[in-house]
Amino acid sequence: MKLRVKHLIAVVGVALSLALVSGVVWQFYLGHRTIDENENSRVTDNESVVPEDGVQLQWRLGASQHYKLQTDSSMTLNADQAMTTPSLTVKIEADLAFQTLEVGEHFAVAGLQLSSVDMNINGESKQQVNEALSVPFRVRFSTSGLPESFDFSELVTSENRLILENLVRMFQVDWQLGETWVTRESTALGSYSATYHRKQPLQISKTKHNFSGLPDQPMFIGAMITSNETIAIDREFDWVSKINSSETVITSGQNGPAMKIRNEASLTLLADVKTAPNENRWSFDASVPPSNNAVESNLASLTPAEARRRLLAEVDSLNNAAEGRIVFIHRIRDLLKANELQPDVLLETMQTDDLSDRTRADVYLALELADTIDSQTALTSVMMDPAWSNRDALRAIVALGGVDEPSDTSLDTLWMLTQNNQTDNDARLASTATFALGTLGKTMRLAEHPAYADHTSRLLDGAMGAATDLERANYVHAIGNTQDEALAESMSVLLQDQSSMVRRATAQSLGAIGPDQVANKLLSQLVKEANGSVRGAIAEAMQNWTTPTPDAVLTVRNLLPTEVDENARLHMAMFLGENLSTFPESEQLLRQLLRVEQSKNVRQKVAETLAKNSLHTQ
Amino acid sequence: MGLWRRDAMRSIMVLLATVILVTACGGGSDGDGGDGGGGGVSGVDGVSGDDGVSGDDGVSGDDGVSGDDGVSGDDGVSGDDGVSGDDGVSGDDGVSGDDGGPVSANNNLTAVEIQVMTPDPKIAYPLQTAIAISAEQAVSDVSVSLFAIEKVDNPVGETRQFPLGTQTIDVVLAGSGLYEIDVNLPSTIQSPGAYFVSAVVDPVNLIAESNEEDNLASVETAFSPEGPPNIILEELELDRMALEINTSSYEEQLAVQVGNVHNPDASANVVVGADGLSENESLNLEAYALLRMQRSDNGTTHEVPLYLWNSEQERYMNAYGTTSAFSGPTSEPEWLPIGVFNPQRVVETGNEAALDDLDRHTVLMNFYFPGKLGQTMAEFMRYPTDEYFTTFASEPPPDLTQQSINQLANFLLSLPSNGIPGDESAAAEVLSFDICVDIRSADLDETESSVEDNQRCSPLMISLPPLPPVPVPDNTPPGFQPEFLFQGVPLLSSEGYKTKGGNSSFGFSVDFSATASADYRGYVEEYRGVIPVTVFGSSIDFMSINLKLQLVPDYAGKSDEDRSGYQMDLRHLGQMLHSEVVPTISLPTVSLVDDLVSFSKEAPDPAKSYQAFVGPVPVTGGASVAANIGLEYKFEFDDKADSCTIDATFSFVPDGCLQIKNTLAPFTNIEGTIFAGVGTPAFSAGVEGVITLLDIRFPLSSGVQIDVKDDGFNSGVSEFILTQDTALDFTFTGPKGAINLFAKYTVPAFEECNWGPIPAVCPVMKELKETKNIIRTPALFQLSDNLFSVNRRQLDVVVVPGETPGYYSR
Repeated sequence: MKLRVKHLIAVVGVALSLALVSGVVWQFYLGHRTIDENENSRVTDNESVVPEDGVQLQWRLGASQHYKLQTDSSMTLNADQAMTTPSLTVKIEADLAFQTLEVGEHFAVAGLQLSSVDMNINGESKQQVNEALSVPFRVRFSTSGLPESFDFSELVTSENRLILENLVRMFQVDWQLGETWVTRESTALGSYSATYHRKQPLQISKTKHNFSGLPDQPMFIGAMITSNETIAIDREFDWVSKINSSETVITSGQNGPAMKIRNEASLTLLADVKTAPNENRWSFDASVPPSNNAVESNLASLTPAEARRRLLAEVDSLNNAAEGRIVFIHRIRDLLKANELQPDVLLETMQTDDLSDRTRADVYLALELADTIDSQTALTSVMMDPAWSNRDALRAIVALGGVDEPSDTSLDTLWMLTQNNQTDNDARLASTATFALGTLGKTMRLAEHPAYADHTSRLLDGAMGAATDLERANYVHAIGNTQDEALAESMSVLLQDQSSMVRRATAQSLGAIGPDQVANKLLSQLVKEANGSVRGAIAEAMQNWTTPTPDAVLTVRNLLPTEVDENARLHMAMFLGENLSTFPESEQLLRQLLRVEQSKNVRQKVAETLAKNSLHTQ
Repeated sequence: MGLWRRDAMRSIMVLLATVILVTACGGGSDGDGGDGGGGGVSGVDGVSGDDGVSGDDGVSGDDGVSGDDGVSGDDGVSGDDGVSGDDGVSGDDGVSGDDGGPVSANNNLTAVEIQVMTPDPKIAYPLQTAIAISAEQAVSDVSVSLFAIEKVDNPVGETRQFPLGTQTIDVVLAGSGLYEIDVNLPSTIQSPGAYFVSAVVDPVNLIAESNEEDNLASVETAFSPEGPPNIILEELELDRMALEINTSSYEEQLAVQVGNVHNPDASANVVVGADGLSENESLNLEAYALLRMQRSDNGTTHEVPLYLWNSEQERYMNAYGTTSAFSGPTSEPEWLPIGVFNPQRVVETGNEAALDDLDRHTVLMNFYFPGKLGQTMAEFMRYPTDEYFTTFASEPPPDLTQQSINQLANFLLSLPSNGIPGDESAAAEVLSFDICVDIRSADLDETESSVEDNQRCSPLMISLPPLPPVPVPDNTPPGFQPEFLFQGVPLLSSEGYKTKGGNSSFGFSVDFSATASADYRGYVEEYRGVIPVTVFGSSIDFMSINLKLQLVPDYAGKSDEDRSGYQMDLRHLGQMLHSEVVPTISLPTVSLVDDLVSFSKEAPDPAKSYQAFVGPVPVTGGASVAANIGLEYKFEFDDKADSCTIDATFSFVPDGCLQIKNTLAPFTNIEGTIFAGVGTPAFSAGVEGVITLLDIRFPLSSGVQIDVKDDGFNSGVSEFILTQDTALDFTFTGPKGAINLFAKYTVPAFEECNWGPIPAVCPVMKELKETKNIIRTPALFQLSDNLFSVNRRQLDVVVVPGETPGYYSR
């Protein structure tokens, strides 16, 4: 799923924002009165009273003004001059409303909103997209005109945020006093040096050079940028009054396709268009980007009835599919995101339709992969509602354990389940919930979730102090599921627990985490361990020991001939076999084992490791 | 046609090809290019196509899994990783807005010349070429597309042109260099004669160059007709490096269960194909396997045919062509059918030409080593100085004939010995083994152009089964009379099934084993299984399962660690997913557990990303596998003496009786899928097909009874009798299906047209779909078998606290 999002960003981002980010040239819309045509005389008047090194940008609370913007961008896959057919063209025409909302000492917040948007990609314009871009948003500018941050309402998708941000960054200007200055400016793909020259007191030129691509945008590392840009201000208005830009970006082709991006863009103040300030337009609550991609955008356009119909059709197809089931699972996953009702529709189907057991299992996978709040809510409802079978509840728990972004409610529900051991069925759910919490712990750890420390603390508390040996063993397995090496030392004390079940679980978990830190403890426990299953688990864990000591190898060699547990013999032999290159003296014992060992499984593994070593040494 | 005319025509054709191909390099003409919609890169609002399976090239197409009612397709509603869909960004709106500009590129690639290295290029055979490329700077991943253009006497009319495929040079170094490009001449060429072989460097202009007009080189050559086909065995990969050879005859192995076919000893994946097939020709291939044995002490070699499992006929192929052990071959030895192979074709539909990938099949085959082979080897390796008594053949197939045994014995005569009877180590030092696989056409009248590439061998270490265990010393008190009279050993049965299939893109291993033991710990059953899956080179521990079940009576001296109970652990990606634990069964009770646990999971998350070139198009995407994994189980514990009815022949009235009947059946079904995309919209890419990697089930059934003659709490000597029935079966269906990546891009083509009143050949653009096969396994492997059966095996266990337990058998 993550890769899919990246792919979408690559497509939408490359298709639109690449061209925009790298500087679409804004052409002036000549149908309106422009600075050039109508205000030259006024500008000239202004110039007569301003210092030669210019004036600062104006930011006045409540200032309201309008612009016309136009972009014409193309991306060509080849940077050759002779190439005439661009692979991608993006044109945007729109009106832009601007209002200064807040003015601080070093910043100003402005409200912006596009209207009459026509974004045309390769000749095609989508009304839905145009409307989606026509939303109010806020920009915090530095007083010199560099955008510092953006606020959007929750309605704005990630892709549209990207497009709008990039549009605004195309206007970015570092308006300073003086004749010439150079600054470093950033875009979503990298940064460039901008050299400014004052042409007139209220007009400057800007050229971009020395582009430096961001590490996560390798295609643009080493790209070349050239530009020619003019920027004008009008002291009667805030921000800028006119920008003309022509820009070319050529990628090196070293980390992706070689391409040339050309942008022509303009932004023109419509001085005659007057509207009363309207702060309410920009009074929305800022939100983080919703989980969104193009798929979801399309899904969101489905009516609930259509989304339901399609979901049911896919479930039916899944139920009848002998092969290719993974395809239907993915489609159900996507349809679950169409609206908040879809997971409930799915549960309803599972309750009323005669679905095969495998289909039911696959449906829970689809809910897991959908990974929305609603799908998690559906899973928790199955876990908590006794009307669902124990098998359904187990699958719901396992599915919840696999989500990428567990909600607080999901975590709380799982923790709640771990505490309920009243019946055998409750205990089964509790143990599986405990494992799921461990698995989610790994997810949280990798995501640097702020609650991870508390999460593992609770797991450790359970391992140390839960009521029964089985519960404690379950918590130990859960800690193993986190695969967090930092927990190995804390957990290793349980190698000496009175319960063989806990000791075995501890050894297994240490093997999963990586036993290097506590390998000597494993070794010493192996020597004195009375339970064959635990010895087997310890020996198996030791197989993951990166650099076993000679003492450890010698100890295992001494223990192996008298080991009565088949599983323990197997893993002791494997431990020796996997370290034959460093400790070849174990070979004789392993060859002897081949001649006397009664377990064919052990013999086969030993023979394999001897053959592998023989090949390695040849 | 006079000489001047031919030369002139050649010049015209080369020039024309150069102009046209360079035009293509330059990006094509207005109103063209872009993708055909079937595999477009996702669009602003149209990311459709789930896994690329939908769309016009998908596995199901319009009437399959997608279509109007699906979530993918034209409405672009869904799709996961979609690369298809009509809403894609690609395509062309006729805008040709680039007016040039101050562009510069620091590099330039020049196709200096192309040479045909194959002495006599044949249609439908590999074509080896070398292209000289000069580069101003070193550059990586340089694609070179090759085309064959028919040389015609009259340029007016259709000029046949064929894409030959594309190869990617990892690095083109700065300066001049010669790079080998190997492609195939598709069978569709059909007509032998004069052709131009043209190479286009960087055909889709992924590399910025200061001059795009020097990327083409052409050479005239002549293609010969196909001639006889050539069958190729490209790869042989065994599932193991070592094998313990079975020393029981097939009859002995068969006897354990009626209808049993016995498990194969090893398996291998082979990649096979056939060149030189004409346009409408297909070829049935078949395989034969043998064990090649070599002695380093005397330099001799001996070969023993191996039996191959035929999934369709559910039997081993008769490798010796005989039904009698003594009559010798009565018919031709049977070879295993391994599928139908088709030529590489170029299929033209409208303005699109599709070049298939070479037809190469991955075939899973299982070998059975004749039991008399192991038996004879054991005798000669362990007791080389003993007088040889002829081993008599049992009824083949599948075992050795008497003639084969005699030949084997002659080969093994006088092996070195270290003087210790039963120690085969000296003999093993001088013996080495290979498994060899041969392939041929099923049509024996078919002549081959070369048979040298029909066989491959892979080394295998072979070991012998262990020597019989030495009975445990009798530590029973004087005068004690056990129920059974003969000193015995603890019982232990273990067996497993191991195989691997697929390839490095989608592969799997199966390693399942089960052990059942009877000793002072009572009855212990352990089950281990692991299924790692390979997804584009990365190994995923997709599923592992561990089961342990114990049934032990309560007796004096029993360790507290030994308890009746069971634990089953199911793991996914190395993490505990589910566990069923009954640490101690509280007896006396009758306990019945009958349930199924199964979960569906997908891995890896995120999907394993890959980058590949399909033709000249760099394709990125992801791959994952999904499976339903689970366990069906039934436990029935019983401690009522009157229910112990397995054996009523004991002379005593038991103190107690424990009984367990259980069935454990882990299973999984794993499917693989990929999705594809390209980072730019000038090309499109997609996926077609689906692969089922494996469908497997391992039911282990056991019935165990423990009759406690004396629990020892009063007498100080405990005695109980274990009676065991255990059977381990499996059903396995190997990889099935095919997955292709495809890419589409524009290529030059010729077409008749008129320049005013003058007929001529005009350049046009065609869309080429080039296919890269990820995996193809048309010969489905299936096997259902009994891995081991233990019928009514009994052990009398006597325990005196502090002493080594005593074991007795009837």
